[in-house]
Amino acid sequence: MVLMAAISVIIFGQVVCRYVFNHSLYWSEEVGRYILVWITFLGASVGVKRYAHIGIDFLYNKARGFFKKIIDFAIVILGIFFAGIICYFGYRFSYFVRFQKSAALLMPMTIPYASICVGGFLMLIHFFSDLIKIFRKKRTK
Amino acid sequence: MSTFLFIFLMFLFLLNAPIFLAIAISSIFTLLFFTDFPLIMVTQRMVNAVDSFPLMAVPLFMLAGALMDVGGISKRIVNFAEALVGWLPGGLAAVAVVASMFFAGISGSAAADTAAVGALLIPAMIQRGYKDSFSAAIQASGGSIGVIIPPSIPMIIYGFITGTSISKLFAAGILPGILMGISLILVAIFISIKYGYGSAVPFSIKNVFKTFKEAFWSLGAPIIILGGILGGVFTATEAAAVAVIYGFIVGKFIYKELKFKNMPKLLIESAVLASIILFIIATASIFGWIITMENIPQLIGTKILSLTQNPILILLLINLILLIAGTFVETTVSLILLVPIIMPIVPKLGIDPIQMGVIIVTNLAIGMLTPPLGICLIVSCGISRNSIIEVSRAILPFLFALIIDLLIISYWSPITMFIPSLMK
Repeated sequence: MVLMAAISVIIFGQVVCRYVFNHSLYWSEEVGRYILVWITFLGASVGVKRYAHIGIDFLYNKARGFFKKIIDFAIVILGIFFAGIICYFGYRFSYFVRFQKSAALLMPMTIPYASICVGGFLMLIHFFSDLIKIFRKKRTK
Repeated sequence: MSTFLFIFLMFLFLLNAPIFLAIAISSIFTLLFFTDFPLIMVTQRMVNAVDSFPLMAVPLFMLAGALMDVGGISKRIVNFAEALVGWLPGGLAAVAVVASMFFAGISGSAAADTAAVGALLIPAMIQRGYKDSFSAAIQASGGSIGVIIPPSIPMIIYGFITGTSISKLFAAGILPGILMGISLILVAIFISIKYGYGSAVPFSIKNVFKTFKEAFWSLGAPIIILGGILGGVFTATEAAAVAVIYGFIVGKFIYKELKFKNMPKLLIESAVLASIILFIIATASIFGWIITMENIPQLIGTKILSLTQNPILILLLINLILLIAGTFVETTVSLILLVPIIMPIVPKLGIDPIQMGVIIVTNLAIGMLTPPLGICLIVSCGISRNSIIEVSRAILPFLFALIIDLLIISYWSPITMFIPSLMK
């Protein structure tokens, strides 16, 4: 987690610096966009860890005990399924575009697309830890 | 296929699935069961959706708001607002609205607005003998203006979806924001006279100047942001980055309240908060792709047009749908799900897409004040420690005033289009 936090900081710092030191560099927009992609997928996986993603809970709050647990379980399983899909296909896709070059910097398109694989993988870990928590009955919130 | 998509989506929503997951899973299952598109397309769609320069303004404006709050800017804005309108009957309530309006000129989010100003003013109002539910209600309503007065994150998202100019959307929001602020203050004064809430401070022009001098650098932020965008000096995204730097410099070197120690936390918090919105946008792009493939927006558009051809009635219908959606669904989600459906009808109404943007965002801002999912309401109640039910009752008069404002914004176009028409 510390690592992830550090990455977010660096990313943000970079976006900020870009405006301080140069305003009209041809590559800055492209770098900014790819950094945004990384922020999205990394940040979203941190969000899973913190239960920060918004849901609609007015019905859920009425559920009790065993039923609530089944719902939690179903959601986590779907989460694992989703994270698995974006991780696997994210990997396939970044491999697929490895020879494509970006417009301004000519860097391989794998760099932005790898974020979805990494983010998916981290999300997978957090959903699995949720799964374990459900079985240990310790899940709060 | 689309029936399956919608029913499954609703089902997942009701199970309290995180919104991104509900949208993503229902879309992926639909693709799996009903089409033979390779799932690899899903990842490509998601990355392309957030690979966008305008969207970069979302995390940047969030960071800017957080920086200015920690850096002592909100405190000074409140002091200045107090000197400006504190002498009115129910002075602190008017202060809450005016301070929220100034802060709205810095932050792009209504929740941040309510939290930053409310943290200072709700306790102050309760201490002076204002009813706690009234204090929470006026602060929540004032905070909701945060998304109308530029910068505004919902407007960025609207501009992103429809391809309208975000700068012009921002410009269009200024007068409606002021209108809403004034009408809220009027209602607050009326209620205060009824309950005998006095003024906070006597009016003194000396005090206005003194607090203005202290708040000078704080007030510079909205002026730079708005002036820069309106004057065409920079785009919304660039303005956001400038606001970040400005907030950092003022907080760190002029007010000296910002510590380097706090920086990592601020950066991470805003990155995570922004990524939650961005991730919903990413997953919604798969959803949007499916419904466009199925021509759903056009189908619904024709359906509505077959009901009535009268632009006034259609606009009323759209407002109703948006108000209901804003009540139950989170703002970003309503935007992403509803805007593509509404847009095909807009040209037939003779309404400029920019005015439509302001109408939509105003609707959603009102949705932030209504239970069960009113974010401003929830934030305000958190500060005043009231139950949502109590505050919902106290908020009714303000809600009524805002709905009248909404009708003005919907049916009287100069209020939105005057300032954008001056640009270029």
